[in-house]
Amino acid sequence: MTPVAPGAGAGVGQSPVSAQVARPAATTSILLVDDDEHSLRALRAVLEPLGQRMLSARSGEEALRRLLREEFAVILLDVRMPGLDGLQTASYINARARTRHVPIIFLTAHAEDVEQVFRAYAAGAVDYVVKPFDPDVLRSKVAVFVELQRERGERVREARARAEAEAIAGTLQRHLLPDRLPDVPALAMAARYRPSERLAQVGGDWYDAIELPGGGIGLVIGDVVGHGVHAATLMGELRAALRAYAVAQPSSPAAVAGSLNALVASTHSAQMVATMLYMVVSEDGAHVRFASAGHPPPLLMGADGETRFLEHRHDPPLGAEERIDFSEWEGELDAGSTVLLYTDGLVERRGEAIDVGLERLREALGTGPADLEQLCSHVLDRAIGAGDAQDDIALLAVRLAGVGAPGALELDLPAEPASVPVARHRVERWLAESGGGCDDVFAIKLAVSEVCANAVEHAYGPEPGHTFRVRAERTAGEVVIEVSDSGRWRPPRGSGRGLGLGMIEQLMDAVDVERASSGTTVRMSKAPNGDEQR
Amino acid sequence: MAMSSAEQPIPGVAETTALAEIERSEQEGVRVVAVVGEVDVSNVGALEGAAQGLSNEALGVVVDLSRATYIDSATIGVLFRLRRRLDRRGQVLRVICAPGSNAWRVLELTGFDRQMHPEEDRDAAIAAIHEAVPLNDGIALVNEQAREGEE
Repeated sequence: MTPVAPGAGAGVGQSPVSAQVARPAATTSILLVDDDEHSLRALRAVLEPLGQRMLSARSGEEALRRLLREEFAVILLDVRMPGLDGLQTASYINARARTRHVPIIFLTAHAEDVEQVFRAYAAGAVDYVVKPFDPDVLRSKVAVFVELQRERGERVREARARAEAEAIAGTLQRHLLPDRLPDVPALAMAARYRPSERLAQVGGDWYDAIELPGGGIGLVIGDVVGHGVHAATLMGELRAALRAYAVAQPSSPAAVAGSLNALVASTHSAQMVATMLYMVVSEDGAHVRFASAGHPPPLLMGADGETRFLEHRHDPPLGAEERIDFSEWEGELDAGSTVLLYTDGLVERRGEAIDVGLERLREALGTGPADLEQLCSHVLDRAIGAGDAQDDIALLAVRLAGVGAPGALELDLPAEPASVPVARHRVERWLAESGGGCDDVFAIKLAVSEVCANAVEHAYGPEPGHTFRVRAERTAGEVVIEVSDSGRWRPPRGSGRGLGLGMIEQLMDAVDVERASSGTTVRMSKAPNGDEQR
Repeated sequence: MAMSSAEQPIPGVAETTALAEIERSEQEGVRVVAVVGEVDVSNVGALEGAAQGLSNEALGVVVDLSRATYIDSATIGVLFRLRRRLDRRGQVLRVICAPGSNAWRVLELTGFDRQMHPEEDRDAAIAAIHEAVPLNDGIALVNEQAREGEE
């Protein structure tokens, strides 16, 4: 092994390398190990221009401790130290697979040490410098290892980005589907699109959600006959036209379907081109109407878990006739109802009656998890079975605020630790029952729990009889939680006590602490469906 | 709280609280404490207790959160405390956690994951502790020398 760092200059005798070192974008860590405080300070000053994080250890033992916890780009290790000396320390570092690769530069003040250092190359060292060292040479040697570490990090990042790009490339179909679903207070939505296994075939399934004038929301799911670029292009046309008609006639799904059919019939010479179901949900999330152009029926699940298909007169598919007078299904749904819109790929399997597929879907919905995103995945897994998806599949699930959605939640609980899980579980149940859904139930649970723990631990002494109050409400598209107590706010104390407050600020959109002589109120809010949706 | 610690504790003891079952066992010189369910300020004492009473010969502790459905800042506080205590004794702490799980999220939110990368399964966690032993031997050696120096 040669005692020279690649590209770092051969040693002290060479002309100094320029101190103008480009500051790498990503920060790495450098470990400085020396028992002498002055040396450590000097090293820090010399390496400062590299812009990296520097950690000091005053002994070999402390260096080993740091290595247990953290990754370093390079270690600068003094040879002569009391306790574990530099060579012993290096041999321990080298005995461990996870730290063996970390480059070590030995620092030595004694010429006679150099011979020892050479032996230490077997112990994983890559270089040495003799004190007093030339700042430029030392800096450039260290810079090489910082750069190497940074490149390793970048390779990992690049590989990750490539994988993402490939996933995004997907099909033309995917680009025509909505990037995100609208964020409306009275209903929560989740959607899936799964292309056919035959990758060359671009499908014609689509879904969309449209915010309508007057506050309602239009939901559409459709299936263009055939495959290939033609089907995908036609799907794009239908989607754009439906959006226009939906906004022009916001209260009548039948009229929208009729207009779309007239357009299709006039441009595609009366051939059946697509099935489609178009549903309008009122602003309060309780009133539902839909028209169906030869499309499979929506599946409803009540808050009690009961499932049924919303059966309705079967009107013809788009394009089948020049003029179709669509009929409308109309009804009110209970709070917490879930409606599933889907394309026939979800229920049709080759050589099987469609009733079997419909029944399988009904059972899958009834046995799924409460969370809407997880529910979509569950339904997709159960309905497709062992990966034999012949056709493409689109799926749109909505949960409605519905009629009789519960209002605010109010709890008075004893100020003791056992109340914390009670508050958390009650808020979780209220979130599910109050309609409008929530993408990130865990965030709200965790924030509620942390604030309650704070009220219990800090606002009161150990005397019994105190209570605190939790209030949760959905208002103006937000979930608002208030936790109040009649004690005095105290700053967090002891190890780890600030952690909870730090988390709350990351979890919620807004957090406000109001301290008064009568007590402390923490008020926090979060948009329940604010995160990215598919 | 039902305690069954009157029996011989090894291998496999479980303490059940209303929210969680805390399992305790020994494996290859390592104490393994596993949480099944929720841990928060109301029952975190059971978790801390299960990680205590380690012999000097033990190599370290694995806290297995792969079946924990909920953890909070009090849980993280216990992990930080436990690590400091083990550090002082030349023993090692590893945490098992499933990427993307609720527990993982709390490790990220509190910055715990930046100080100690969670392991994906029990074998990896135990291997990591065994692997860290050479470093700990070094630390123990120095401690011993320091003690001798004092005497």
